[in-house]
Amino acid sequence: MDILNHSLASLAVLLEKRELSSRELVGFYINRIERYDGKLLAYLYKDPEGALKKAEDYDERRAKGEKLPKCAGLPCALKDLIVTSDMPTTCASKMLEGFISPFDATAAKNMRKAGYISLGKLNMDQYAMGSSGESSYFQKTANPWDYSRVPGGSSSGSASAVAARLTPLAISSDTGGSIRQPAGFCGVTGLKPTYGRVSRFGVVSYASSLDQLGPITNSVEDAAFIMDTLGLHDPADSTSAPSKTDFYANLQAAGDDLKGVKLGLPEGYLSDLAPGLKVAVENALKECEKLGAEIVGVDFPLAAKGLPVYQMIANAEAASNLAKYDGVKYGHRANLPELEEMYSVTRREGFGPEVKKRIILGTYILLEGQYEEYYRRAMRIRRLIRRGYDEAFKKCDLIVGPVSAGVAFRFGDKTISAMEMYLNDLFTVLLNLNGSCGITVPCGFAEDNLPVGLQFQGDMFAEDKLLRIAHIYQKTTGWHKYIPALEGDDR
Amino acid sequence: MKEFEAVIGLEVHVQLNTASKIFCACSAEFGAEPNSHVCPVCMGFPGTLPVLNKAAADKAVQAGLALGCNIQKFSIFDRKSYFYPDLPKAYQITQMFYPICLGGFLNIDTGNGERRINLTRIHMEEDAGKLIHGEGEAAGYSYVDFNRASVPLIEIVSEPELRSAEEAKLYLQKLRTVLRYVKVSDCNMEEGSLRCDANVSVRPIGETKLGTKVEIKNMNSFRSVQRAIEYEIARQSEALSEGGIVRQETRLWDNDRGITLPMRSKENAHDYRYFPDPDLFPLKLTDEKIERLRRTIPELPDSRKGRFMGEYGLSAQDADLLVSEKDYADYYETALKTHKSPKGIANWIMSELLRVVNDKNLGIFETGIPPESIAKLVALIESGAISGKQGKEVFAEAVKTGKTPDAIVREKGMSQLSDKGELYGIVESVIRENPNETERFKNGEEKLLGFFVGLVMKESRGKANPKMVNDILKETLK
Repeated sequence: MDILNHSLASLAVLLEKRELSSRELVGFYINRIERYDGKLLAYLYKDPEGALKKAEDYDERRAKGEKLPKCAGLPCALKDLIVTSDMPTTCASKMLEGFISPFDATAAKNMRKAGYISLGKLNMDQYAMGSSGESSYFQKTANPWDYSRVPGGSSSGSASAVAARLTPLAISSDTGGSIRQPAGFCGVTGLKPTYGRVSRFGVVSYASSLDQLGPITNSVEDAAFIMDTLGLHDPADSTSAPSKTDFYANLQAAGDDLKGVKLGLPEGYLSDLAPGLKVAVENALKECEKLGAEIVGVDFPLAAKGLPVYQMIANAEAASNLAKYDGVKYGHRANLPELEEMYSVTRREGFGPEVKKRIILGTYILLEGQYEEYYRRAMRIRRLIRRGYDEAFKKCDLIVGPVSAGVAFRFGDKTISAMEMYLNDLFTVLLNLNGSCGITVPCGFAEDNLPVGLQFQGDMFAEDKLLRIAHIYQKTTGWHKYIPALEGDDR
Repeated sequence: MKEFEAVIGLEVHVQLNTASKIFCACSAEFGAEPNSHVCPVCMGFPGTLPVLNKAAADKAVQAGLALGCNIQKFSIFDRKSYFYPDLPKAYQITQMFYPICLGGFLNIDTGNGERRINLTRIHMEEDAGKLIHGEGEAAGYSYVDFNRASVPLIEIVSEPELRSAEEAKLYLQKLRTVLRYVKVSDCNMEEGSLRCDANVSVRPIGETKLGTKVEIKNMNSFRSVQRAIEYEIARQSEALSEGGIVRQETRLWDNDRGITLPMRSKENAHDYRYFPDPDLFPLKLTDEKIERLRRTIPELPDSRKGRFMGEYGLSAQDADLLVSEKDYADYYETALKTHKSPKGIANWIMSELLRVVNDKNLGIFETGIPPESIAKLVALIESGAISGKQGKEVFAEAVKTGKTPDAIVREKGMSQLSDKGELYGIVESVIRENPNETERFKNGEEKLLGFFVGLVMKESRGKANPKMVNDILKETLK
């Protein structure tokens, strides 16, 4: 049986019918992890014994005819900022090295309840701050299409592991593009649901008003399937939306064409793109038109302000959210007798340079004299950006375009300035400021045979529409079926 | 020396008596084993999020309604950032920009009549934990107890309208009374459920501009608030009259030495980097909700005092005492339902019952003497069934045993002998047995009346109604 040819839903059915055992399925992925992760470095923590034991347990119970949850025995992996009580949660930082949470994140709990078995925790940019995965304190995850290149970030391990089929799905987070951009770089499917759709309880906060959990998978269909488990209301998260568990069912009625669908293309969205990437995106647009969609121009008046506004808000919230790592209660502590000294050395040692930079910026922005000038103004522009989205969605169903200006870049590329690095976020941060949903699907290959991602952006809680359109595009084009040749492969 | 006038504003923190904390489900109870009322949320563990305890918001609104505030239908929680080991998230969730209540006022009774003190605002916030500094072998170490972390507080900020330490004390007492009426807090300063910081400045009398203000912290009783403000007014007035200046700073009250000492100056003041907490949506209150809470507000002390004076003819002083706790006033009015003797019952409550309440540190409903019993006791005395002296005995017995006055009077055979026929019988036999004294009395030796009264009392084993005995003796001996 070629496990890689099956969707999650189909694997669940095979397990249920006992045509496939969970032991085989989990074992299959553990073998791949053992074989390939030594070079890819996608996982920060693996629990093969624990996973196999759980798989065998499900198999036994199933053999006895016990009624099991619908995803019993399916493997998954979690980005290392989703806290779990059975594995460490480090945020890829020295600050939380070896930290084991006393409780489980709601998402982790929901996954377990649905029957998913966690293979381990996935690498990321430290505290989810970065677009390349390089700010991880522990290791740099490679892009499986080219090991000399970054997988994108911050969900570096998630996108890389899903692309390399070291897990069928990863639960990740997206604050300014951290699901969609690495999904594009690695040629996989990445969904950022609407803010509030997936509980943030137990997700280590980066920027609370922007953070959102979502899946990275090998298909839109799989993303919809997993959303039925993730989309539960959580009373422990004040910003949690009402439950929704019919994503997959609604996708089944998707149809085969995009007739009547209007896709908005913002003015100037395709300028300044890498040439090969631009061609791939343009071809994708043509493909959508062939399927019956109409491409319409939309105005995005404040798009250029998106990046600075995002940085103000994200850094301010991050500075506040990361203040709790003071060495008093958990995590790294510099054992020094004086309180002030203990605080400052703990934080100096525990945080990496990118995290410190953002904390300092965020702290400055919130100072009494600056608050009005920066933070309040950023919040006002954020409201205007939301209005811009509202206007755009009066003219179109989804906004379509690239997810990055170029393909995955090389590690330590000194030709890329910090500013250019941040510009990577240009195509993704606006959606987080709006709070609505978006998805990246692979749409071909460009420079150096690297994958290109196509991004669809939808309105608030418009996941059904988003998934339907992305799914029809995907099943017609089939770009998601390409699997990278991995180092250590026999092929 | 020039004459100075003080300008005082108070910032009062009151712990709301909710069952659980403001942003998690932990118990908010006082006095538990350290770190036994904690969870990942109130300890600020990674990934945790706050969820507002609606009961805390309700109580904040009730406090606001009782204090005549303008309840805000839209308020926002903000983060106040600073590092301290007892602050788990390194920020406190509070309400800086849009508090839940604006305005409001409190009337205080000064020696020169009533004064209205306006409030600026009331906002909600969470409490911090507590540092415990090690002793003995643990000296040099500090420990953190997070039980108090995230217990709900309201901060009540007054306008700078108080003019003396005495007024500040009256304000605090009145505030405590009102908040206890609406049952949002027990307002116990010793246990820290009411804490007070004072902003004090002085200015020459006649001056309208405000002087430089000093914030005083660390006052743990009503008395220390009064003393600290008195000290600070004197200190500032002296500095100014000697041509010196008052620095804007925060000072700590040292209760043992009776002085304030500088804590930090304005230059070293924290920048708290306030901003709206993105983990919490704004708190929205509907008119219906506010109205529903308004209906829970009982008659408040000011109105009740007026009614006690008008309806029951009590003096202002007595009414003040009886309305100072809602329970006292409730007890009083319940007793009146059994026996309508407003002054008599008021006197018994104030002189006898409140002594027991204070001596034994009990609630007025917990003394073993229910309001019906006090009423009954007063009725027994007023009807002449027992004497006032006997009444006190009955009262003491009731406190000891919890028995009703009727039962005590019966068991002790205490009720007065007021039967005319029986009394005549005793009087006649006494006169018969003492012919000499009778003769002397009739010849004008009227002081012998006491001698006869004594004999009658002895004969009746002390039960004879003294007034009736007097009357009958006089009549018979004529």
